[in-house]
Amino acid sequence: MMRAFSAALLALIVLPAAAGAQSLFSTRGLGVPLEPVDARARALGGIGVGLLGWTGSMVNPAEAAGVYRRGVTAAIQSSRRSVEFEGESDVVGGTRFPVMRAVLPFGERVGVAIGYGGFLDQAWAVRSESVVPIGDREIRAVDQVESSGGVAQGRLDVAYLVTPTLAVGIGAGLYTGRLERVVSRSFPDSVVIDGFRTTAAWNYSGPAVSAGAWWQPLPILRLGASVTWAGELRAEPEEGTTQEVRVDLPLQVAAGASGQLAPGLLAVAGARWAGWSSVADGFGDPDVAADTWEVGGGLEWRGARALGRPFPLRLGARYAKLPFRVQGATPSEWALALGLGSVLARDDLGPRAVVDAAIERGRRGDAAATGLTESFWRLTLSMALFGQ
Amino acid sequence: MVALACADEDPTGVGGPLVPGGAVRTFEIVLEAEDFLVSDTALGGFVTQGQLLYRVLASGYEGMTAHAVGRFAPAPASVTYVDASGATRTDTLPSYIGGRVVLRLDTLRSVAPGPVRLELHRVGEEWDPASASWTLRVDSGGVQLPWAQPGGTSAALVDTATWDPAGHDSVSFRVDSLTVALWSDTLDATRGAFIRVATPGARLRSPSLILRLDLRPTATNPDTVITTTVGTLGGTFFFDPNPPPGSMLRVGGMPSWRSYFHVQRLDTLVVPCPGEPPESGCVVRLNEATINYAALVLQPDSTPGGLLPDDSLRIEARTVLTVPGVPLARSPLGSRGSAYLAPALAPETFRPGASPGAVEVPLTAFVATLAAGRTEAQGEPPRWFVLYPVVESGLFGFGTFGGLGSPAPPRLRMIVTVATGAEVR
Repeated sequence: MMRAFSAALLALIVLPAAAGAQSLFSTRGLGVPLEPVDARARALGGIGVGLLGWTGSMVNPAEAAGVYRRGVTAAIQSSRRSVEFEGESDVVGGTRFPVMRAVLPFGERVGVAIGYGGFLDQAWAVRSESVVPIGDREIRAVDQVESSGGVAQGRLDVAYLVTPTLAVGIGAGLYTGRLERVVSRSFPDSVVIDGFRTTAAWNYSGPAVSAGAWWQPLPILRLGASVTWAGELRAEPEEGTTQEVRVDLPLQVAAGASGQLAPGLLAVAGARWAGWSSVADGFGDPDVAADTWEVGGGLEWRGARALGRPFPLRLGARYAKLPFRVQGATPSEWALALGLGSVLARDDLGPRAVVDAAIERGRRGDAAATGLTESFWRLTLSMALFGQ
Repeated sequence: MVALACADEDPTGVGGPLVPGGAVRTFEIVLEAEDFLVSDTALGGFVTQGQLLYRVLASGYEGMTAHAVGRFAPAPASVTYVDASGATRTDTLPSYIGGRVVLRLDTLRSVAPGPVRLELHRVGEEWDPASASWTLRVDSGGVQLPWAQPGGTSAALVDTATWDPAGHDSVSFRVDSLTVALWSDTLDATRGAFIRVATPGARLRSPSLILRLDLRPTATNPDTVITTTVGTLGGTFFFDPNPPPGSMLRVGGMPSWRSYFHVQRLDTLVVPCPGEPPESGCVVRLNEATINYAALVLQPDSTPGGLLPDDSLRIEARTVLTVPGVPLARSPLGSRGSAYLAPALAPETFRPGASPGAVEVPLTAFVATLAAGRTEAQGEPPRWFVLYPVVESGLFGFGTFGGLGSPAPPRLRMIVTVATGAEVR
């Protein structure tokens, strides 16, 4: 188990870090929400609730029930984005690690999961060039504002299988993380003029409690729902700043369902609501954010086989509102996803090692409303390993 | 676990207006001498002529005259040589029949209007190679003995020679056997060679002075002549005039000038934002700003023509770690004032009548430390710095600059950057 786990981690670490799901939309408010879901859920609409079969997503604490062997999932995500803002465009990229989750069953009814995943992404970097008047001369200056970090969530879930077709779960955890802003200026045309660099950093902390359930009224149908209450998020200054921010994080509700339409064909649909307008008081701006809806769904076909192994094919779509307004408008995001899975190893009880991939093509923003648009390719890879 | 949910991000050139907070502004601030300087002074004597590996000779070169004296090692008491048959022989009673004094000349750093006539004399008075100067033949401790003739007392003329700057890098004087014998008498404190330039308007720089001795071995054919070479045991050169610095600053030359500066506290300095109207209330507090560049702006002044640097002058700045009770000239030097040196200054910069622009000596590190003020780790920052030539014994002649109280005193030019606070949102 440990050897397989190490191999999985190594495989994830050495994957090329080419692009990023991070976004200039992250410059607003607390950034862009991240979904702590794995590649399978990504390919099936991104909600990650009510999925038949194994999921490494940490949206619904009840998903830890009904798992009969211990397992661990980790995901890596990279993307490449074409950014347009007020007539200028650029191509940027970055990498992030959206989720890692381990599940440990206790008997046949109780499952415990511990997970660490993304919640809000504030990673972005903007570079600009200008001419600075110095006395009677002008010097070219390159400014860069770089923001890294964001809010992550760590949670411990306990799930209970009430009946073979009904499970409930609760989870408690913390929002944590660190935000670092580095503002720098360099003078590339002069070797004797030193650059400028200043750093400000904050540490995030806040509580979170989740509850959820799933129900399988039929062996081919699963319904799931979860609700997450989050308390006050505190951004405490760590370095280079005295600004302290306290905001009330939103209540989040997610629901989803999946069902077998035909042998080997699974349909998935889900939605999520988050009351992001709760952060307005913390920022002293009633228009900083709005409540958001997010819907997604997809199809999974398990009929594809190659080299004697099944290769589930997935097709999904997703639409979401982003919480923080840009130029006074609430931006939205849509994405189409194509996914592929593979069982690398299995035994009589089921899979021992599973790898999933999802590639998304999507777009954020509206040039007319926000002035900012991004179209992106986003690749998510995840690996799940299971013990005896 | 630390890597989870973290990210890296490529910077983009678009979206600048979306950036929350963190506006960066860069200003140029120029402080006049009275706003940053407490005092300045020029001190000399860090290297003396006797320690140099060269000597200077001049005759009325733009008002400057320089003579050289050298004391050769005694002629060897025994000489080993290979005779015509190939056998190695040692002569313990060599008979010296004469020789030549060979004076090598630095053709790039010598200035001559044409062929230059030089004279080789014997020294006419007892003298000390380590301390002789233009006026004193001995200046050691409490003993000061003047030359009978300022500039050195010469005795018998040994030989003259003419150096043609167009074609040779050395000049040779014939030395008779009597002079060889006199210069080998170690009990004679007058022994030594005295060299002067007889042609007006020339300034020569010589990197070496040797004596090549001819002898006839006693055990071989009387026609056989063997040559052996001896160097100098000591020597120096002295020149006149050497004007006092007054209110001007000096760097380089002989006797190796350094300029010292005592700077006011800068961490408490608050200046209005340049280019901003006063009513805006915009100010730059140096202790909150990043010093991107700082330089001492110096106005070159004329150096007496004969004492112009004989090569480009490169100036370095270092902090001075002053210690109570220790003279400034003996205070140890600290770190460099900047990672960069000042541009090389051509000798013409200091020629009388020239009107060069101001020159800048980078001081970024020194000023940044001073602007940061006292810190727990470093304590009180040093407030003295010194300017001196990068190769302190390399130049004859010095650069002159306007000092505090002169018509063109030093200024401090700084490029500083400040930023408004970054915000979470």
